Amino acid sequence: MNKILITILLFTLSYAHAEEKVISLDEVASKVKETNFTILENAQRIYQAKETITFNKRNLLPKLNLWNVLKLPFDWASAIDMVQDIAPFLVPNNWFRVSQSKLFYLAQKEQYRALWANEVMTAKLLYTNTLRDQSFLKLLKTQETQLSELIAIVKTRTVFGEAPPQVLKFLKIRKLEIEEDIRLLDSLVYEEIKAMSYLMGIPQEIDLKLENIVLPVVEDLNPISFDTFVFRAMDNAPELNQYAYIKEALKYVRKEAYFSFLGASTTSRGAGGGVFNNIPLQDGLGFGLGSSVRITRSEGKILDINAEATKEVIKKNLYNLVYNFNSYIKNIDNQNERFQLAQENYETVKTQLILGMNVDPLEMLTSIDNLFDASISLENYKYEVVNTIEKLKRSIFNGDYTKKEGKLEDVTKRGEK
Amino acid sequence: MKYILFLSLVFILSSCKYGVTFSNLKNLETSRNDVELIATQELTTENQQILKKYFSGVKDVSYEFLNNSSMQNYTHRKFSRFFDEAICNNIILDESYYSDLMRKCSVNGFFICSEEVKLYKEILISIKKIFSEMEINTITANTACKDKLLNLGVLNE
Repeated sequence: MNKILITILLFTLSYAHAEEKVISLDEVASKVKETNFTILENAQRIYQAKETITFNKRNLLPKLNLWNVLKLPFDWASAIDMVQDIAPFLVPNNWFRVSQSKLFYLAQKEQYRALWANEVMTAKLLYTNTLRDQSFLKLLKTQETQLSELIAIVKTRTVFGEAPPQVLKFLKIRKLEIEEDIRLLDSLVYEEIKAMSYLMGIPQEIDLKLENIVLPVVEDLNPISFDTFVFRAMDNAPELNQYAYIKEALKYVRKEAYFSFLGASTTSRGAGGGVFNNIPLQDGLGFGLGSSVRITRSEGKILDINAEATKEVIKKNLYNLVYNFNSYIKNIDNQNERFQLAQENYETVKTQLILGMNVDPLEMLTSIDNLFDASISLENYKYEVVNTIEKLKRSIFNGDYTKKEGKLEDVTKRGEK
Repeated sequence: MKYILFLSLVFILSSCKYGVTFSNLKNLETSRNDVELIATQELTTENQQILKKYFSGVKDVSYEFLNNSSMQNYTHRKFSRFFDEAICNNIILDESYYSDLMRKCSVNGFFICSEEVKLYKEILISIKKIFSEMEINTITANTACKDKLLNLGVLNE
């Protein structure tokens, strides 16, 4: 009986105490890849795209359709119609669909690469923003402590008639405002941590703790230039690679139009192949061939326009990142000076107050608020530098964002086997 | 006569089928020369394009070979026609140039060149696997080629 009671007690205790998990920024990328729900779903789509290639290849082999076979004794001429069943490899358009499905598979992999990188970046930025908000929370609590000290001093002064009572009330109101700010920020941090758990596919029941990061010494960073990164940003952009693969697939659609006199294909183009469903293809050689070909050329132009627009967006984002990064480096001294002056001012006024000098409590409050604002600003500044570096790495697929393009991944994987 | 014509057509078509890839393989010599010419220069956008052309070319040719078993069988049958002692030396970049490029491609802790440049050795190791030991010995009979591959880490001692 005692053993059963002990077992039940241990079981209950294990449920009462939530499991805790500590995670570092370096683990975020691997966690997102393994357990992020959106990534896992898209990985299945890649798998489907790959299987579609296999399906399309096997679709070139003869297949049995019993109902078509049963027609034969009544109409031998219908044997010609059975070419798609008996010898689908004789229909060139089936071969073109195989080629298209291979290219759409590669395009799908690029889409996955973009999605994966965006999810990793979102998770990492959320991680750093959560740490930043936790820092802000500490600074708010410090401000609250400083204000409590000031209230204690003013309370004493009010008793001796050295400070008007309304000043004390004003300070107490201010303290209550800060307490409310603490509550709100604490809730925000809690929500951010839960959002982090979701992004990394960690069950919500687990209590997630984030390891601190080492903030960069902004004064030691060097300015960067747009020209250094633009080539890599364009070359590695999965969106541009996707357009290239889809445009290559378009050539086979044009061939389908030319070879339609040997039969249309019912084989799927694969994942993402629906993008060409609006291109009309005749089942046979007809007067619509010219229009089909012109429509495919127009689709090609649309892809070119989209690719150009994407290039400009990439350049625009890169220019902004480089400009912001250099701006942070250039102005760090202002932030440092502001913080230093605010701290010196606070210490001076506090010392004067403690020594009983005639210091207006509201002046003390102003110095506390100034110190808080300067601290928040400096802390936020450093985290913004971290975020900018992260976004820069994402735009050029460096660091945690290094993920090989489709063909490259295929080639190097075979070497590892 | 019809039978001979038909066989000739099959033969020509089968060799034409892989003609583009083998032609691309031979053209790597020109792009490799271009890379060596700019190896000591600054990494401008134009020079990056030259690097991209060569290293992507190596990747694309490797991809074609690795993903086409018919082409691999054809290659083994016609090995001596397409692969001689000179081809390796002509298309493989020397390790000293490669190291210089890798140094230039790393700026402020960022890698700024194409990913194909970074994974050059891995690509060569992958393509090496489709050749038999005898074929590799034929290719590496050229000492310069063997040294290149050893220095790049593609071949082991």
